[in-house]
Amino acid sequence: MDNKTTEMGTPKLSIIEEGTELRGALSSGFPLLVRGAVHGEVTCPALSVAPQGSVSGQVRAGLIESTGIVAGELEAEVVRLSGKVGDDTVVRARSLEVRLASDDTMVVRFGEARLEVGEAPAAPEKR
Amino acid sequence: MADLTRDDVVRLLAEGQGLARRDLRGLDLSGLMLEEADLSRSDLTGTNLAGAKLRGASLRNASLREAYLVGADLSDANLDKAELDSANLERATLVGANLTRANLEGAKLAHANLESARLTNAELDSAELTQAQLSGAQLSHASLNEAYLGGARLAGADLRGASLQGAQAEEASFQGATLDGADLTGLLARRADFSGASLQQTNLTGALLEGGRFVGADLRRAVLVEANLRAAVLRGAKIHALVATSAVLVDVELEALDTTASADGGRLVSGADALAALTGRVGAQVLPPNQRYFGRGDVLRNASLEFSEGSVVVVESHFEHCTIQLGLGTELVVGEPGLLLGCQVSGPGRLTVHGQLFEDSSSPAVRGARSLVVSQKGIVRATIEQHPKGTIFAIEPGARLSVRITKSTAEA
Repeated sequence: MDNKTTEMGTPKLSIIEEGTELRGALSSGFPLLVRGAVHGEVTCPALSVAPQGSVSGQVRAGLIESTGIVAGELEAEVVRLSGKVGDDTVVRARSLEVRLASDDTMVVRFGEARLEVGEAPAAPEKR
Repeated sequence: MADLTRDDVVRLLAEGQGLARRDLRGLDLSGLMLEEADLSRSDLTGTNLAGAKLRGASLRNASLREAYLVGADLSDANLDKAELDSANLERATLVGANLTRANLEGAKLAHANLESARLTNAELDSAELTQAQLSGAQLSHASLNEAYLGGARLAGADLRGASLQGAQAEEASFQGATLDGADLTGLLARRADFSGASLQQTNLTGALLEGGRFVGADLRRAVLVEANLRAAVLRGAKIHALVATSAVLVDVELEALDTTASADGGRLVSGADALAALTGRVGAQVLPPNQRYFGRGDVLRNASLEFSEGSVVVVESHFEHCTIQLGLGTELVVGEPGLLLGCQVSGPGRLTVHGQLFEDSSSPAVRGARSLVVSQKGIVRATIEQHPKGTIFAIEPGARLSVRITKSTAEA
């Protein structure tokens, strides 16, 4: 057993359960699953926001995966979004994935948001 | 080490006791009768379960890493979130098993029977599925990147939104399967059969589909850029808004291709006309009347363009400071060599960017689009004012963006 796994060998995970609301700064060395609500600063290797969960504030993580509500400043290597992205949100990531639903419906609903993804695109020269 | 012996396990089962959360690592439980047994959260790492009877057993969250399950019967077993990476399941029976979110990375599943199994969101990267039976399996949003599916049978399987990047599926059967929105980039599928399959909006960029069968397949809005379709059969396929730039289309059987948006058979094309419709390289006499193609190398400046409802517009040229009005449902596809620089695109159309879209002083560059898709090679630096009902976004990993999204200023 290493310090990242349980006795059963399954990965350790910090969970904010449904009905729990947390305000302030949260820093975790383990992946974080949010089913409740978090407002504030979040730092963790991986953040997963469940459909009933919400996170607002400053988030720094290796991976952010949301099917719930996110808002604020999200910074991660990889971001996968569905669910809802609140107003005044900034997403900075090396890679962003927003899938298209097979029935052509909206998978993610954006408010007023800014997306900075990958190497900053430089304008091409006019011909 | 395990805290029980094989005899302990047999005794506990005889006493009707469960085996949940037990440490059973490395035990030899081969051939044991474990039907309906509760093994949830148990640790079966490296355990020998060859030929074991596990029909209806609960193995939820169990660790079966590197377990030996050759020929085991796991029909209707519950393996939800089970860890099966590098497990050997060759010739195992998993009919109707629940493998939702299971980790089967690198697992050996050759000749396994997974008919009607539930594998939604399962991880099957690099799994070995030679001639596996997956007919009717639920594989939506599963990850099968670089998996080996040679000769596998996936008739009627649900692969919506699944990822099969770089997977190998020579002579596999996907007859009647649903692959809408799946990522099949770089799929190696010589002589595979996709007849009757739904491949709407499927990304087959760079796929090797030589000798493949697509009889009656629905390829509307599929991306086949640089795909190799040599000697493929596309008889009766539905190809509305299919993008096949730089695809190899030598010796392809093109008969009765349906080019209508609704796939109602209202306009069928064959032979040279069908080839033209696929490549978009010819004039209006063979392209559907509502399709427009702006070829590579052309430059259009300060133009005003209006495309009526239901049109399909493919831009592989450079448009600079143009005003583009899209009608309801109009599709504007900016191909990989295409560039929209300082242009303003407005109206309730659908915009797909494989190339580049740059805003300069005219903002927003996109106003009121119903959907915006940016593929893995797409580059967008622009303000997007959403449709009054919200814009549908799809962004593939690899896309480069500097995008400001604003709400609609129009009445909803």
